[in-house]
Amino acid sequence: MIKKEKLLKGLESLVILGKNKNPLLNRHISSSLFFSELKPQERKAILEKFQEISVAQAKHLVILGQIKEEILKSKKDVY
Amino acid sequence: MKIRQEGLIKLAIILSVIVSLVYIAVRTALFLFAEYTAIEKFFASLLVAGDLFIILHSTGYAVNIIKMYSGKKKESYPGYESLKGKLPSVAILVAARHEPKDILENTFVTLKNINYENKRIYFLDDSSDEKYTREADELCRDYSLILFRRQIRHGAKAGIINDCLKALTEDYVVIFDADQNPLPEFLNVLVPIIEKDKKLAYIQTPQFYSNIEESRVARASAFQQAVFYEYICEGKSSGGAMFCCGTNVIFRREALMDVGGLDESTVTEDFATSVKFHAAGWKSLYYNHVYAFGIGPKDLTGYFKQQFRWATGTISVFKKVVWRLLTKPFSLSPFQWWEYLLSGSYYLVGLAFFILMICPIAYLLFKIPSFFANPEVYFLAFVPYFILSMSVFYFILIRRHYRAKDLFVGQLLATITFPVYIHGAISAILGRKPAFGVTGKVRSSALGYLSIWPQILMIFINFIAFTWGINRFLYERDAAVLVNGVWTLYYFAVLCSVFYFNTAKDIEIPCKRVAKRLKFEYKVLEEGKKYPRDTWKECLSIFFPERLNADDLIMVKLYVPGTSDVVIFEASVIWSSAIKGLGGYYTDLGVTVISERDKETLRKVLGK
Repeated sequence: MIKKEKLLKGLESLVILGKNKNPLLNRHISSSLFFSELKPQERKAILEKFQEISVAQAKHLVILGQIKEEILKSKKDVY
Repeated sequence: MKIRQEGLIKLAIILSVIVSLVYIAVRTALFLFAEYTAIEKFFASLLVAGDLFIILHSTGYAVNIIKMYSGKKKESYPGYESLKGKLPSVAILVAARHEPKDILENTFVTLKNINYENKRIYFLDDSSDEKYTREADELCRDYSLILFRRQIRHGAKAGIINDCLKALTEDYVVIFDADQNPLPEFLNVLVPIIEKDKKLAYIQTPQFYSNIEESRVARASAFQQAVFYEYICEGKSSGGAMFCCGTNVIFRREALMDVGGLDESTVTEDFATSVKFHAAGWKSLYYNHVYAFGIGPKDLTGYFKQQFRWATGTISVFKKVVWRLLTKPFSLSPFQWWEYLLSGSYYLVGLAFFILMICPIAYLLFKIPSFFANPEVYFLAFVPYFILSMSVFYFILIRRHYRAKDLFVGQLLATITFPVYIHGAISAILGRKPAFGVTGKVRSSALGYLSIWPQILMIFINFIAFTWGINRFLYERDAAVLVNGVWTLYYFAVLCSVFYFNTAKDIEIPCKRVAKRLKFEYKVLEEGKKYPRDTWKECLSIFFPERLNADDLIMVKLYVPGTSDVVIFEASVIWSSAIKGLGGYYTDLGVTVISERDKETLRKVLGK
């Protein structure tokens, strides 16, 4: 059981963290791949994966935002 | 095979040290025994001092590499499981003064994301400007940080950390600069190591600039960092002389309290405090794995500011190290003394560069000899030393997957910084203390020509000397004139790189225009977030109802021209330039298409 206010706060902090964390670490790690022993093709494949994760993350955030909106509109106070 | 290769490397290094010593011995003998005038002897003594400085530091580098290869192979460090669920408490400190909010926000996001339960994050806000204090309050609220401020400012970053230390109770203290973004595993890896050895005062991890694709200065300074954090730090650590670099470091709080906190008397408090740790019998360790990413200076303004601060601070500590050596010679081991004296004097390199530059000029323009040898002796002594030492330097770094071109650009940047190093050295010797400032990281800007007058003046003088040297050679046919002429041409070319670095432009990403007047719909998924750019790039000329910005993530529905096909894809905006039109913007847009499948589809439809 969780109160509406606490749930919204939790969702908000998830949104903030999710919004920034993946693209940021993605960018840093992509740069460091330059120094790796991986072949260009392997590096490219890893970059593709990073980007796919970023896209998935962006979509999750959109959904998370929608859930937040629904909870905000709802009259229920306990979940 | 690997052992044999390492043996060969050690042999090459020893050979390079031997030829360096032969070179300096020949130089010194010629200086001592040749009969010249007082002014010529003066220039010669400067040149010998400059050469000796460079050779001492090259030898120091060689010793570090040998030390590293001779050290323990594949040290086994305790893992996270060794903590057996009892997690020591850790205080993570980030000190900042007037840092941009977005830089800090990135740092706190990654700090919150560290996988370690028993941690507390402290934001040490030293800002005096109301805008920054308000932003600090907002950050603390959004990221549940513990805010620490002080009433009376003293000792810059070291001062506020020391003030905060008094109130801390945690077992360990981690310090990050405001622009460092650690990986989630940072504490899980380092805490077990420091927990196992109770005499270990701190563990230093490398600094890594990840904005190497953003500007030439950032890229070159990243490679300078790499030279330091690879073999030099590993060698220092093997000999128990690794000093702390001020960020990405975990301290035992007890050790910090034992030495009275960070040294506030200098801007390089990290270096100064390390001497105290080692003198008090504490140990240090360098853990050569990148666990935090940072942002390097994007332009010469930021770079020169950073280097001036480091030069002044380090040389001011060097004075103290020399004094300590004279008064307490047994407080450190011989290897520790050697390393501290080398590191402390490194920033005198600006003076050494300057001397090496003016000697050929003095010879060509004023016929003042400083080498005191005929060209045959010069070639016999200098060429083996130069070729072997440079080959060893490049070879061992290329072995670690660095490119010679990048390392060379790093060296160019260091050379054009010589006036800054000289200024820093003089300030330190005179006891002036530079103000602690933020290294510019947000956008790049070019310095005015007045700010780089020493480099421009030396370019001009080298050019004049070279031209005059050609004239002299045509008449005199003297090989010594030719040798000095080559050196002025070399310094002329090297110094001209100041124009290569001094640009407001970021690195341009080549882009091929593929289509015009495309009909499409789009949706911005996320604004202003950077995505990896090392992928397929396309330019589109499109009419937008709004202005799009670089780094926006967009979802696009593209109507393929001349067909009824529609392609939907996600892309990251690399750049956009917009001209306002009726009801929107005529926009040229460079994008990175995210998914491989979308790229294939787009290639097919746009290729039609």
